[in-house]
Amino acid sequence: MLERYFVSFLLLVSGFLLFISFKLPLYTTSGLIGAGFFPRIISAILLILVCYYFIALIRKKSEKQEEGVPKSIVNQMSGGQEVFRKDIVIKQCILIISLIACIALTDVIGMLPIIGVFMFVMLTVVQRFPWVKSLIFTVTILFIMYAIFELWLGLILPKGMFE
Amino acid sequence: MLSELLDGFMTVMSSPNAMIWCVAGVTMGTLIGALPGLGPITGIALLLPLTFQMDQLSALILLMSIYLGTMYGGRISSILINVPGDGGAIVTTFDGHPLARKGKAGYALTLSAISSFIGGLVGFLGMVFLTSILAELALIFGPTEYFSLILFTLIAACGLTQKRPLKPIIATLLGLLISAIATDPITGTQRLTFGIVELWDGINIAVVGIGLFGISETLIRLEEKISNKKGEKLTFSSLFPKVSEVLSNFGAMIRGSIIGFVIGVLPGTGALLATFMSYSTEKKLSKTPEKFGTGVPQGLSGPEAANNASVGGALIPTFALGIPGSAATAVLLGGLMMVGLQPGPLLFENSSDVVWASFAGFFIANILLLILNTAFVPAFAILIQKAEPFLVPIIAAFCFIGVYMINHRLFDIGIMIVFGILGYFMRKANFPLAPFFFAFILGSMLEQNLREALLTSTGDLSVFFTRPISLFFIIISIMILLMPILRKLKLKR
Repeated sequence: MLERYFVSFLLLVSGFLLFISFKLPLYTTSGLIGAGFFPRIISAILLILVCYYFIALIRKKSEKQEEGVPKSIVNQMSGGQEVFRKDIVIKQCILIISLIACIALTDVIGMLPIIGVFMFVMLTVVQRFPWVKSLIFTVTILFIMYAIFELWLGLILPKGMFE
Repeated sequence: MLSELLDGFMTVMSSPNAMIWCVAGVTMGTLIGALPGLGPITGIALLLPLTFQMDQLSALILLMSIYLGTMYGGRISSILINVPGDGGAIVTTFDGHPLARKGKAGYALTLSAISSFIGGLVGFLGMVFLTSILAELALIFGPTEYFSLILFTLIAACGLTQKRPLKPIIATLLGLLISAIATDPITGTQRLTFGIVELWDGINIAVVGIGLFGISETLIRLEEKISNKKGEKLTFSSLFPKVSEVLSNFGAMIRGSIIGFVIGVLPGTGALLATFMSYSTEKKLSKTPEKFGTGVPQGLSGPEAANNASVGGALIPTFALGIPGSAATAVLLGGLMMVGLQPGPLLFENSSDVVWASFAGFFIANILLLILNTAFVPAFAILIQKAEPFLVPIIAAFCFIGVYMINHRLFDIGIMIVFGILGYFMRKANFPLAPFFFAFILGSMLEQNLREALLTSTGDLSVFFTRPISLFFIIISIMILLMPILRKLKLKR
């Protein structure tokens, strides 16, 4: 099932990029290859191949169902690891949302403090470590990062309100 | 030539300053190279200010030691946490990390250190003996030859020879398409940038690489049970490969070294192309190509040797012609000029003693790196075992800072997250990441060389078939393209 969703996504992306590439000139005024040549050719070939693969996937699934193979097994046979656990998906979403939140808050409270908060949240909420252990680990890593990036390499990281 | 080299060794050995900076360079280089996002380019650029007050020899040795050290260091994070330190270490993740996951982290680190040493040695020998010949050959390569070479490399790497090549081909095409996102280098037209200013210069290779491999790795790791990996005891003998195992990889190391050296000497190519070419060569030569990507030693030793051999290769045009062989040597070139050296044919006439001493320093750095990278194997392997439960936030945090430091832009971190999610879904749907990333890197080079070649030939396509080197690569490419069809015909019979 996941593979079909992903291939459908690829179908949409390649179709959309092919559409966009038609707005770019295929050749220059002097008759040489223009800006649109490469994206148009590549997206067109990609679209054809993805379409072919998508049809092959559907055929494969219907053949298996006709043969009486249970639906859940068919899903697994169509490729990819199909087993999705809700708790894992939630953890992955927390990771991605936390990273996005870090981007938004870096200029406000500084990069190292926000990374500290991120690590603490990941360790306590996502990986269920005791908060004391998480805090010690977070502080240690933050100190190492500060020593490497700011003291040793002399890099200037955003400091936000601590500037 | 040999007497000049021996004089060079004497100069370095009798100069405590040069030796100290050699040790400092390899140590700092290894540490910087091991950090995700920090490769030789950043490493040399960051430490360049150190050379301002130094004599020419110490400065040159420091810069070359950092360069070589970052190449060694890049493989550490690739093997241990699946996050390449730089472009040249990406291929190391393909089989190096699976070996680490099988509990053979120490073995993988030592094998890659030995391969790196062999590669560095071949690079050194080539640098000493073949400088003038290979520099001349590199000059012959124009856009036509580069286009054919890149096309051949892409076709060879996209898995056409596999039983089910459709997924790698789709991944390759997707990578090529994403590489087109940027301002058109010839006409200046905005392509697929959707009005976003940050995309005008294209998407940074390191940003895509870190997202694709690093962030997707954290998402995959969240699915695994941490407790399974606790309690595995590392024995001292498991940390080092047996002599027979090293010997069985010797062929791959030599092949990788030669590929790395030859590719490295071509201006503008660098370690990345060398490692991918070595990997595809090993895969083709293997009796079990389908096992590549699951922890095959030859998939690690060949590219690692190529990676370090490319350093020696890339230094040849830098010294002899003043043309950088890679992006890292371009920064190094700037460093040479800052300390008063003028790279080019006159360098050997005006500063012959410094150049030959720096070649000797390069050899000493290589030996120091082998010692450093084998002696610390237990430390690295134990470190990864202890740090395993904490790796998800550590990888994510280092990716976050590493990507930010490339351009000092938060926008890049957003792009990294996007590619992390894409990489995760590609992995889950069994689409290979390597052909995608390879095509992404080579896409712009492929297009630019195609257009430049056609520009110089006023649109005449026959230019690719009339130049012998180009024709050679085109013929091999066609042969690879025909292989699946020939295989089908053979099966029908």
